[in-house]
Amino acid sequence: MELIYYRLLSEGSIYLIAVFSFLIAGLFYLSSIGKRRFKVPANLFFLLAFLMVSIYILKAWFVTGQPPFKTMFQSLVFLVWNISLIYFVLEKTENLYFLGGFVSLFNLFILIFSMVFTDIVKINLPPALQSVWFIPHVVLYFAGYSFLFIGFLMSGLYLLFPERRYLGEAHWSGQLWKDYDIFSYRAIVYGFMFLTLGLSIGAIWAKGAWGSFWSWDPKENWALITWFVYLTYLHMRYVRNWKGKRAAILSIIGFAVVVMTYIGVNYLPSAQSALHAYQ
Amino acid sequence: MFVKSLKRTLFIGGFVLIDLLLETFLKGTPQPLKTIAGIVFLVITFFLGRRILSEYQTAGIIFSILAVVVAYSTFLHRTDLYFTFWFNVLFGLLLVSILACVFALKPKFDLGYISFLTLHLSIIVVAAGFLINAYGMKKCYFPLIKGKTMKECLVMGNTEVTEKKTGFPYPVTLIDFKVAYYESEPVIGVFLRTGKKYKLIKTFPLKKNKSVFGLKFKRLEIKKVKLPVLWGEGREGRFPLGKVFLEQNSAWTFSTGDQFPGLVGVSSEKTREFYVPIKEQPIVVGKSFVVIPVEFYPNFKYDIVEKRAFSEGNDLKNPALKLRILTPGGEKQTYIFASSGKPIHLGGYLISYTMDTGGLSFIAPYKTFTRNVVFSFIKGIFEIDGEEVVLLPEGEPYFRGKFAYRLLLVPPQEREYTSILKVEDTTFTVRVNHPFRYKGYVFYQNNYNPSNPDFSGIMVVREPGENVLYFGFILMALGALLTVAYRRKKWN
Repeated sequence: MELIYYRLLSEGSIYLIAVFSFLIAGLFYLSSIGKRRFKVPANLFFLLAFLMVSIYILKAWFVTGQPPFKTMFQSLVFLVWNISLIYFVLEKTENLYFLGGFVSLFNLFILIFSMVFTDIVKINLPPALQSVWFIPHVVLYFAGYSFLFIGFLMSGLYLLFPERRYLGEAHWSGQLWKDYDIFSYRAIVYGFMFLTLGLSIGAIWAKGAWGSFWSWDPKENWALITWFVYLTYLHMRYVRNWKGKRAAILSIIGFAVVVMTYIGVNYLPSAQSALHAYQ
Repeated sequence: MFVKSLKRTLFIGGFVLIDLLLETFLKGTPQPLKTIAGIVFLVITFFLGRRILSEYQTAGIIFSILAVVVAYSTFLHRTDLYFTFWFNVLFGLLLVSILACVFALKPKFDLGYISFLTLHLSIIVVAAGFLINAYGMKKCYFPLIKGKTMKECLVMGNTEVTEKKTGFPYPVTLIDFKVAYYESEPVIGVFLRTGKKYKLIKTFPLKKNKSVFGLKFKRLEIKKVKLPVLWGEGREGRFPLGKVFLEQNSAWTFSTGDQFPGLVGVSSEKTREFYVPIKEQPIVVGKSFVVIPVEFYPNFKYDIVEKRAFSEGNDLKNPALKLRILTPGGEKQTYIFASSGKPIHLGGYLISYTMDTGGLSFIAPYKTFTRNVVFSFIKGIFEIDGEEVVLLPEGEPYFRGKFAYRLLLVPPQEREYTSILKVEDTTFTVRVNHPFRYKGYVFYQNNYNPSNPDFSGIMVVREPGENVLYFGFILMALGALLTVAYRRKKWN
């Protein structure tokens, strides 16, 4: 706790405003479920937090002259930015206000959890990462992870509150995506698309940088396993018409594999000298 | 349902069993024969189990087996598994099964079918590309020295360079090689006490008069000094023989300057093994090269004012040895350094931790000489609570309450390395991410030796499945986009 406290202090006002704004937005969103009473302040605080995270990323980019995706801390902040952006778009287009509380609190958790990792101000990009493919590859993967997180969140809500699964329609006049289950599936379709695009671009980049499309690096392998799991999810859905509980469980397993790919794999002994290791 | 599942399980189980038996049976068989055996095995399997293979559940089971194998190998660091016969054949079976599934579906030629076909075909194309490469790809490695031409290269295995040489159709010359470095900037590292240990929580750039948890940066003082350091010449060129990381008695940290951050492991072609007892008889290394150990420093320090080396205590914090070297050209004195803990190959010398028993194990290189290396003395001046604090790069931290502060000097890191090559009459440049294609061969900048400015490692690849794989990955991206387009159309 002490470590997190001092790390938070070391990050400066922009980061702190983002943390507190997510907290306040989360509380407003949660207390608004079914009432819409605090919708405007919740949106304003969420937007403020998103702006602060955007400024934080741009500032880090400007100071170092390099995209801030190299350390685990930097990548977690970028993940928060992605999830926030996707949620904000979904809220505006699909009336998904009820997700706001969970998304805000998850973002808050990530921003605090990221404090566990050392913040190295400047990591020089090695020659292999100085490529036009670097930014699209990372952005596509993080967009994919963010959609898969939304899918996981909806599946979790579906399992936790089965009797309130039509919350969107009942309380918020949801226009299109009414059911947690359907929404989860749609988020996963998008997430899978981004994963596939990221995987394809990564392979083409690897060919140019290292001379082979695939190096059987632990991170690559787990990215492939993640892709396999979501491929299975989609096939079960299309071919076997898996819906509801079974689909939700598979979605949660899929996200657990995403966490393994993103964070867990860094702790494998085989990943210490891996090409994709975070610093 | 149960019978179907049982049949499927028995079929795949039987396939895997035969696949593993074939692996043992074909051990030592030349690669082309293995390829033929693999293809024949897959064709027979297809004719025996066409119906089972065209079921998506079968493809799912094969996918799952492959996923488990891949996950297992990442836990146990078994990269060899991916290059085994049985793994490749199992991959081939997946390809056959997906193909059978695609053909089992009746074509409709609407957006749904096209997206389905594109995505599934892409997997088949990618898998086919990898299988073609697995049996037809050629990779070799040129350890090139500036100005020299090579007609042979070292065969590259699946993951590493082998000692086996092979002829290359065209002579390859390294015209020039350049390494560009990022500037090395000192930063302040703030550590927080967690239990008995201090954990680095954040690094801060040095900004004049900016306070970081109470510590205010004032200025940096830098001095440069040349010292003789023993160098060796091995197969891959020249390199310094030690990690030079010294300290003056109180105020200065001695760290490498310019572009030599530390140690590099290389071996020399003509080597002999020796054991030199410290402070004992001289030993003759080669015909005209005599090494006399003069003094051993368990914790080497250098007094910049008095210009003398000494040991601060007997702990092996920075082991070093002072040597006298007698050559036909004259006599020289030099220092040789080792970082404690693990053996390191340095310029042909194997310097090991055995220093603490009073001796030094090493393998003498073919040629050795001393070289004056520039070292930077860096001193950071800070202020805390109105008092001046001096911090040295990688030196002792300054403790204050729960915090510890250290001046961290990141060694120079390479930004880019560029080789200018000549193959036949064509001269071209190769950099990381910028390979060059020449008559079907692709030249990649593979590695370099930080201590040898003349060395460049070039990888040359001939990949028959390359275009198939490019096509496959583009198809895969297209398939993903089409799938979403189709789904969105359905949702709306």
